[in-house]
Amino acid sequence: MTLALPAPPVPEPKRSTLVATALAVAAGTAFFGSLLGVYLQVRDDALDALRADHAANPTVVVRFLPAEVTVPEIATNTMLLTLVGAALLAQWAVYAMKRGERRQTAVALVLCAVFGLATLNSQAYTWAQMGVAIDDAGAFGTVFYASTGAFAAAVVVGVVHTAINAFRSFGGRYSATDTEGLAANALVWYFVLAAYTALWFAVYVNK
Amino acid sequence: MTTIDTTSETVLAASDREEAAATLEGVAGWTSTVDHVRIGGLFAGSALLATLGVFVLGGIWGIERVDASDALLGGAAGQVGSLYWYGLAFAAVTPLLVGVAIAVVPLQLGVPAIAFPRAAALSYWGWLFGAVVMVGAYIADGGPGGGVDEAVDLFLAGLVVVTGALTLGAVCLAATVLTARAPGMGLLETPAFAFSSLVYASALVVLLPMVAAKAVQLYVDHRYGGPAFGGTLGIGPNLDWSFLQAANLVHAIPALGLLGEVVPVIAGRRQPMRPVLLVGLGLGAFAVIPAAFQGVFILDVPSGTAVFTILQRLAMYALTALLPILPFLVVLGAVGLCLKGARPRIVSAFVFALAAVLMTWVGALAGALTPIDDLPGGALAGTQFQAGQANYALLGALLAGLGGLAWWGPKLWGRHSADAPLVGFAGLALIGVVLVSLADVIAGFLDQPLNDPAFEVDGPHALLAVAYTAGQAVLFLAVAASALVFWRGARRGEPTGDDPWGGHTLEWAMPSPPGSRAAETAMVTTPEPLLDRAADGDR
Repeated sequence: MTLALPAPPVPEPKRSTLVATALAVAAGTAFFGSLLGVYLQVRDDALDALRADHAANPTVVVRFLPAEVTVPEIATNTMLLTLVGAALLAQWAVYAMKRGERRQTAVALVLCAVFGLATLNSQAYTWAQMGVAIDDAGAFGTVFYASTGAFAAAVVVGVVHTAINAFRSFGGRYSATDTEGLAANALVWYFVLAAYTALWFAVYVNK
Repeated sequence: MTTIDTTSETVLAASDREEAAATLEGVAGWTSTVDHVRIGGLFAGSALLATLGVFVLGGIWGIERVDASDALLGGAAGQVGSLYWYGLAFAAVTPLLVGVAIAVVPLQLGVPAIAFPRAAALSYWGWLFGAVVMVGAYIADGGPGGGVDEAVDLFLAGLVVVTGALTLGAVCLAATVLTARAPGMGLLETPAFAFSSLVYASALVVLLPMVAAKAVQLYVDHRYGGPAFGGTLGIGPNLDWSFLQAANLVHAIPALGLLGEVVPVIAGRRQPMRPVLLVGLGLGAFAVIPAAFQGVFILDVPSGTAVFTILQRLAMYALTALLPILPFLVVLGAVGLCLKGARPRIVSAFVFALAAVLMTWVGALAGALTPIDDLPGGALAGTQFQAGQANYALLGALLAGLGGLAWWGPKLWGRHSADAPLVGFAGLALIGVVLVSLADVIAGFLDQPLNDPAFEVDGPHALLAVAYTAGQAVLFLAVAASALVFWRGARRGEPTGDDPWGGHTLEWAMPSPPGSRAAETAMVTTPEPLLDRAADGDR
């Protein structure tokens, strides 16, 4: 027998896209946290070993980066600023759509995607400039490419996410009262920015 | 529509399309489905098949250990043992629990679809693809310790796909509970199993990406690198934490939720102190904290250690080894209150759930011993004791999955399964879990090294290996027989009513099997809406 329950009011829209994106960001945080945690652990172990060697032989240099490898700091710092810009642009898209400014929203989303592509370009440049030989750089090569490669993949996800939202925006999917997808897009870029900030400090500043 | 497109309109549109898709027969209907009941069924069915395969491997692994050599399998012995563990954790237990939750939770919440139905479908197909790749990699001499480099890489890639897909399923599940509840249903009114599914999914969202991150590093290292992590032989030591203590206790959360769901119904009363039960379920999330250490935190306090350091280490021990015990105490206390003075009906789901909670609890208690470095018989970390702990936790959680199918099966497929045989099979499965796990625990006390078939230590190891093998055989029989009962029930069982158990929660107000729009008329204001309705009817 089916029990008849009272009819409910019409449910209000819930922010499932934003919540799911927040959950995905939590997953991404765990992913990058694990990558960087292992990076720092490997770095500490390597430096401890080098310090011991240095105590026995002062000519041994205590340095996690392989010899001859330098970090192109202009490129890595520019990447950070570019990602700050991408996050601001993504937020601008939300702001503009809430005010019904579709043209501004389109400009913001396109620029956001371009900033993402510029970040990928900077990452590729950084790889080329550093010239770390993955099979000849010891533990550094593994953890460096795993971390920076995962970051590049996160940027690709951000660019694709922005492109999808841009097309949905062009198609009239969003309105002044429905900006949830755009807010989710901004959340993705805040996450990418936060992930890179941690990566930038651990890998490029702390070295 | 993309997989991230889930406004209420598009979810309903998905339901509309599902009605159209339901007209597709056979393979086409199942492969194109976005119906959460079917997706959950695919997960659970595939996981049960994988479970049977895992028990065959476990049996072979046990036979190999009888004479403390690798005479039967030779160089493949380590990989068979390894495939048993990765299969049990990522091809059997996790997908079974996720599948049951995907099928049941939207019904409990009174919503017509899971949030992001296409993403949920992608989660299943992605998991299946990744799992097949992993098994294929093992067959091609890959996996941890494998001899073919490309196959080892393939295993790691497959593991990344599996963990990514299961994470996606967990995101869908958590998003459903957080955003798609029936009107009036707050989180405190959420059914116990749905609440535990939220906690479990949230824990998986944290745990599985950590496993994926480690697999990515190992992949880069093995395929291109130095290697920094020990090459193919370093994969196991770097990755086995994903199914050993304490990551495995995460899977106890749905077992606790199932017990909290079933007990009030069979006791025929409301759950007393329900918020306490929910707090207990929420505490299950603490199990993910020790997993972040990616290994056992060893409690090592040599003489002369500073007091502050000792306190620090004791605090870490409490956090990683004692805290996971707490949710069991709270939930068992809460359901004990519910059972006090009641005369509960004994149904198979209750036996499965109780066995699951007891076994995972023993796993948590065993986990409290593992980190202690200064035990009288020597440290247990690195011995087969850890395998025993993992078997208690993972096999216990597996029983919860079977219990979920026994409880909600009649709802999902609209027909009765024979419950009396299932009670027997639940008891049989409990015996199997004890045989397998206890044999490993005792072997650990006898210093048998972890997951090493060729060991050289004294003791009745042959007897323990026989007990272990017998346990795997018993488990195979119990799971195969239970699956057969489910299958026969689904195909030929008597049509069931909407509420065969006298349930308290919303899913039992729907027709059996549920239609895609069946729950749209629900208004919920308490945790037991059907009990309220029945009480109103009596007045």
